Amino acid sequence: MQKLILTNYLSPGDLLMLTAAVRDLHQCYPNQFITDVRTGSPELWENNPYLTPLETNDPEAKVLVCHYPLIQFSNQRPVHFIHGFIEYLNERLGLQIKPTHFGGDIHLSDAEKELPSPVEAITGLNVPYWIVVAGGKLDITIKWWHFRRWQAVVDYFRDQILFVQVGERHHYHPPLNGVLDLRGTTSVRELVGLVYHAQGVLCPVTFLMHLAAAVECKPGGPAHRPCVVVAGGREPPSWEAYPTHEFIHTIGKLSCCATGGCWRSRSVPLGDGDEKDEPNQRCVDVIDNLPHCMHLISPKMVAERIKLYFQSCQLKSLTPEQAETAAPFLHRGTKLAFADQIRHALQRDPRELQMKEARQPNPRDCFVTST
Amino acid sequence: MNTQPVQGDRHSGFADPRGRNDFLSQHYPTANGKEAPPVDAAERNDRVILELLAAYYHVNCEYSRLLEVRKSANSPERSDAERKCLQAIEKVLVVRDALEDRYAPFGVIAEPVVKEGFTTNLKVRFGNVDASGRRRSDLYTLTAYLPIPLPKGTNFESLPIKIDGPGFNGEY
Repeated sequence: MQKLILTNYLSPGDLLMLTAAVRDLHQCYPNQFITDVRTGSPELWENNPYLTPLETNDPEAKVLVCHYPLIQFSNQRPVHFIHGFIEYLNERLGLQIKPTHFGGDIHLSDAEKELPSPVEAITGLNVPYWIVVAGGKLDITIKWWHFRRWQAVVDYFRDQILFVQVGERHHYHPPLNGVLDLRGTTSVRELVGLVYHAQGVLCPVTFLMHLAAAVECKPGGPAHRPCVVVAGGREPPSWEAYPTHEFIHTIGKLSCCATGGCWRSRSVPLGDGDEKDEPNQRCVDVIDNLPHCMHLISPKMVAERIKLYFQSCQLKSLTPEQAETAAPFLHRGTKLAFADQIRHALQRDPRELQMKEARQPNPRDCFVTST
Repeated sequence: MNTQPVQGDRHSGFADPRGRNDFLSQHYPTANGKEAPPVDAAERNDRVILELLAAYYHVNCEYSRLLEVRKSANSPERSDAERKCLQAIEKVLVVRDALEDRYAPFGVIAEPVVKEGFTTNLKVRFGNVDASGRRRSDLYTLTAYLPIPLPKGTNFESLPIKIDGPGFNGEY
């Protein structure tokens, strides 16, 4: 049996694709390889049956730094990210691995599955919830949707869906109101547990999107986990989207992504010295500092996709009792509290009601308008 | 540091209030627990902080006026004055929100610390620097001292150790 040590230190989303490649290598070539990995986010490999500890200095072990050059052809060829590492291994090892499952390969132990959800552990409430990611890493800011739009979606489903906001502490994740705020508090493994128990996921093209497809669903629920992705025009859906996800993209709708993803990095320059600030890596069609493609996606469109899942998967909304019990755990920022105080005081004035229509619309009412 | 103006910069309507004769220093918040940058600060993040501080200063001033009005006895005049104060605050909040909207794509997050209705400090995070103000793309030098005792009689040079990497000159 050939010993392989696969290495990769890219982002967790990329590593999920590597978990798929390792699974498919063993599925297509059973008992022919002994594999180990050296990667970031080692928690993604916990309980993985395809790994065997190998020493780096084992003379029989072949160390392979894994890449996915296939991405260069993502706009031309009908290939998915899941093919990326597989094709690389095929080329380097002379194999013909085929994808065996449309998703990464995450393994939860029975003990992990029996644990209460992280939401229940915090609140004591066993209620359905969706995970929301309202930001992302600072290198590819072009993937960000505006936080007011995420907020508008959350507000739309107030008392119907409990949203749990997650995000890495050092990345850009503006706080949303009316959500259970777990930003910066979850380890990768806790995130896996959070996804396992989640009714759905709402996010841009990010690690959580891949995780939503990689983590098995709880018994008794839908066969696949609902996931609405606000994608825009950066990546072709053929490369990123999972068949059961609602992947909202704009490929073909704008000249800059007429025939494929633009693969650019930033909507505006951050000024951090990163080469991604260079003009050739920046969005060419920006509206109010937001990429035009993301601007085209309204909160209403996103809400409609979520509602579709509720209809097709017969998901249950929060009951009034559940919503009431969850309410004390929801984040309510001081900005919103103050603004509400002022606006409620104004609304109590009968003269104000008459004048309300004459005033400028409140920019918070951005449900179907721009930010 | 980037001293260029923010792309698409437009005047927010919030000028630095500190040069005004009627400036009320008690209503001017601190920024990340520190004194505000100087009026003539050129660095981009400082300019954003100054705009945000000016916005919150105006909110504080208008709120202070509201509290003053509410001290007087109930009357139609008081109701009128109170309504005008509330409208003034709402107007400032709308402009402040627009300011935050504009800077959000730059990774700016501004969170006020509020005491009794007044913003006393503004916590501002930027996309281009970390909490210590260092540009995110700057290289870090990490040094670790790892004492590894050698077995007696072992010659260091004879150990099968290979060290390489940037900054290593080949001498152990």
